[in-house]
Amino acid sequence: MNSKAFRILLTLLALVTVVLGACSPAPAAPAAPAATQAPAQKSAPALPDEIVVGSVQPLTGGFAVFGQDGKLGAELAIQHINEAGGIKSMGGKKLKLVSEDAGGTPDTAKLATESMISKNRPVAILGEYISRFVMAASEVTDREKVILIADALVPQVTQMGRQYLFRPGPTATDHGALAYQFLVDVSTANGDPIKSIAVLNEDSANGRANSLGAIESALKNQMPVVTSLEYPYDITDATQIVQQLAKANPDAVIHTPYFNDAIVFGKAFKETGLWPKFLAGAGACGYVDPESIKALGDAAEGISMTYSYNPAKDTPQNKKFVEAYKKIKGYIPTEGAGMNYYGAMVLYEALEYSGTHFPDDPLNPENLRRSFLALDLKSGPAVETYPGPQIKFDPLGDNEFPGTVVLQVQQGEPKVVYPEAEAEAKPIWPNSHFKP
Amino acid sequence: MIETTVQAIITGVMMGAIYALIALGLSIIFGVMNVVNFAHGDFVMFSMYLTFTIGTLLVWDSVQTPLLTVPIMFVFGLLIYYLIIDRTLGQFWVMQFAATVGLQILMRSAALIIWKGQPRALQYSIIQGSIHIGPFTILTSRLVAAAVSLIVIGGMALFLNKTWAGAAMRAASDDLGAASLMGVNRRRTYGLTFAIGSSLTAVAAALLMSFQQIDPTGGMRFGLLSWCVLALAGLGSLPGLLAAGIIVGITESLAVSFYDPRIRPLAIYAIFILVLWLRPKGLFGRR
Amino acid sequence: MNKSKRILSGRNLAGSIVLAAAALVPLVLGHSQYNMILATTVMLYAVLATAWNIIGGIGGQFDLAAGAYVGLGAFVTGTLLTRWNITPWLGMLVAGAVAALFAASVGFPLFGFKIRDLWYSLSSSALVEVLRVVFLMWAAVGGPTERYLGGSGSQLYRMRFGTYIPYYYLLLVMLVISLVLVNRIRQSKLGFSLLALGEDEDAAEVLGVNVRASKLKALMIYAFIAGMVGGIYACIYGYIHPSFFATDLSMEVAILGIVGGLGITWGPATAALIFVSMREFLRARLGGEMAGLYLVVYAIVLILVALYQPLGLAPLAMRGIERLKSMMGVKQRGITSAHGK
Repeated sequence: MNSKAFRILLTLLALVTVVLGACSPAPAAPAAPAATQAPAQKSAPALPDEIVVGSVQPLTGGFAVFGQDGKLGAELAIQHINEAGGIKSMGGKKLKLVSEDAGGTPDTAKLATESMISKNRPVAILGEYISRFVMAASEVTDREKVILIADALVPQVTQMGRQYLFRPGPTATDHGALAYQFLVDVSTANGDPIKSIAVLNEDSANGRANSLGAIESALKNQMPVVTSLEYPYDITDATQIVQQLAKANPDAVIHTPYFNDAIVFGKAFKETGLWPKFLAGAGACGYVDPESIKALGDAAEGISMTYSYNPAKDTPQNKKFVEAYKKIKGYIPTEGAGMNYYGAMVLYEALEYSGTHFPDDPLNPENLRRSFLALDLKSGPAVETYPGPQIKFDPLGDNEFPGTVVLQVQQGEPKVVYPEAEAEAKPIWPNSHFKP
Repeated sequence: MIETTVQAIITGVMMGAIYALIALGLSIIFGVMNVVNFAHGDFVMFSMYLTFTIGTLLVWDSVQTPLLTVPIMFVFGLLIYYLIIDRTLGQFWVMQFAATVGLQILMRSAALIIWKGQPRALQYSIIQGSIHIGPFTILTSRLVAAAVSLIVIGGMALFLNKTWAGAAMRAASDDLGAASLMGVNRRRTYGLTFAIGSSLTAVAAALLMSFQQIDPTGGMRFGLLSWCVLALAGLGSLPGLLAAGIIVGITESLAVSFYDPRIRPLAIYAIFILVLWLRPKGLFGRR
Repeated sequence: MNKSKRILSGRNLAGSIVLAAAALVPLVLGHSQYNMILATTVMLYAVLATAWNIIGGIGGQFDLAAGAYVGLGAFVTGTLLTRWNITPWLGMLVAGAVAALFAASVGFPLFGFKIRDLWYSLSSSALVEVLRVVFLMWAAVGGPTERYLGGSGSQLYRMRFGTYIPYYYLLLVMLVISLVLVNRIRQSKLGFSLLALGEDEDAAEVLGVNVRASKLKALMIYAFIAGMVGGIYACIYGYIHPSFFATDLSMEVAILGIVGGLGITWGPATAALIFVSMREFLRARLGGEMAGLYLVVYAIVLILVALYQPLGLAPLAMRGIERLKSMMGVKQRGITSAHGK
């Protein structure tokens, strides 16, 4: 078999394909002097025309619901920043947002992050919603010295020793603890204090972290946890678990789902009729967002969920955001949108700081990093859209003053009901479907 | 303990009947045509998405959708048969394998494009609800679905035994040569078989959508489930298929109740592999 | 046959040219990590598909369990590193051995009961899922959360480089080894046994071929390589997770093997190059707009190949070249492929 010509043909084909694959569909200026200047440079490096910010979110695949919202939140924030004059300490420089699809697995997220950085050299990336994705991507961003503003909840994200990772939002532990505290406060206020809880979660790191937060709080207060159940997030039939829960007979259930299993459970509760006295969600996914309420119908009524964003916060910046978002989507911003909005605002504050304090080289990753760590915000657009009073980063990148709120579905609408300082409505107790 | 076991068995029997229906289409196609349809699970998935769309657009209850989905899937089956399957008959086995795997990917990605990645579900179906008998809960949706499955399987058996088309199918599966001598047109019979197998998935889909949701990865689940039931049942016996389905349903239900919801696929595949090792003909197989 | 003549033959020379080109790729693309991870992914699939050729192409058993062996390899390597700080350079070899042993223990009864064709494919497919669930529930080693690779020591020791280039070369070396292996096997007694039983198992048995032993040998070699690849995979991504037991990967490896050309040494690797690049290319261009569109194209190509060229694209290309050459008056030689249908 003479296959020499064949081999040569193949080689040519191979080279052509590889070259094609190497061509970037969105050719960014390869000579953009982004934040990779050597610190030893004496003269101030020229700033680019626009400051490039990246958004890497799951836009397709199983988490697309969150990712699309997150992207929109970032887009609106950048738009508002530019409208208000851009980065004034850098001469009014405008921001430009580029977005990539993180896909559905940590591998595609990592690939998207590599691609984003290779093509666009952003000064910071907002993303990637799923803790697994953030953990995979942060390896890349730390290596390339690109700031990653993470909107993921799992505590471990900030425990990997990353230098360029910042998480303004609360952690899953905070969520779990708040869900517990909410149950205690609301039940007591209604003269019916709970005497036991059950904890239910899908078996990812997020699910477990939330449940752990709740369990820790419960144990600290000597509240019995009658059962703790886990299930795979792609569960199709929750009847058996619902029956197990009913058997254990807790006063309230703290459930940490992802989007789809929340619907499966909501329906299972309705179908079997085995509702607990109160169903409190934790971890910000499912139950109270518009898609879930639509899918569940009246089964969603009265279910609560913890959120890393307060859509009812009465500040000018937040109102501006909510209005703009509602105009586009037809409903109030979800958690993903909110987190990315104030995440971008935190970036804005850091950029302003860097421009003021490091005028020679404000986009240098080291200087940016220092700016983030130096922030102590009690006012401004970031705090105005944050579900808490203050933003200040500890050395690991977490906010020392994490804020969370609880939303509850009331007459088909999500309402902020807790803590009282941030609430817009009173919580309804117990769950209306509950039959003693 | 006893309570949990009995509850598990009740649930298992109902789900088992539904599983038998899901596998029915595959059993007929494989039994009559000896065609390996790797994409069978994705046919079910596709039917379920179709059910969702029709149910949402026309505001129909899930149980009404077969009025449209069954004819659509019948035509779809015919199309696939004449375009793809027919060409692979009698050829090297690779063809069928690669073609149906390609079909599988095609259907899955088409579903991804049309309906995006999220699971889809219909609003509440009229057959949903629960009956409480003592400590046991029977979900009416599962009960109705199981009953319908029995009726359809029974109907299929009647069709195969009492109609000419059915007899043609049986003859073709036994001995194609002799059958064609008796006037059985291979292409027409095979086309009909494939189309029937395809439209059966629509029936199963309607029942499933009354209490479940569907996402693009559902194809793999239903596919392996179908092969498992089929392997356990063996070929050539519809009552055997039902029995196999129920066995799978009960095993799965017991495993989930007593151990862990995550063990579900394990239980099914364990049965599958064990059957292949120990009794490749299946429990009730004729050949 | 004159050995020295063989070594200098056209095939080997051309082969060396291609491999040399492959070795130069990092120089061309190395500046972009994105392109490097792409090239590395292509290599990954090339190695897996080439190894698959042994059992699937030559042996005719369409194994769909690549994901099982890759996953096992990843977990063995990752766990050895994280728990006992054993370098993945060694861990890889252990991983391969474990995968091969596992394959043998499953294959032994499977082949013994004369499971073939369809049922072999199906049960191997089920195997991947079984392992996935087992590791999902095995809290000590697996569990649903990602386990990040630990270990102490230099980057080289832990095989955790800051760039993809070393992994690329490592996989390139493995590809060369795999290609040589496939070639050797084809011309060895094992190869003839496999070809025979691939055509007609019963006839082969009658002719004295030890069907079961041959299948097992082929399976073990393939599983060993896949296991090693799994170890490398774990080091590239820096974590292990039960999702590594992937059905999609398993199917893709088999498809590449089929489309590339059953039993043809270079076929699967070439298919990997073309299809994985195409897939990523399409994903990058179209992915954002329409997720899944690239898969639709991929699937249609596969169906077309299946219907019109089931022996793969390589024989087609070769036949085309033969025709070209005969038109140019060059002396022809026969075309051989693993299965002459």
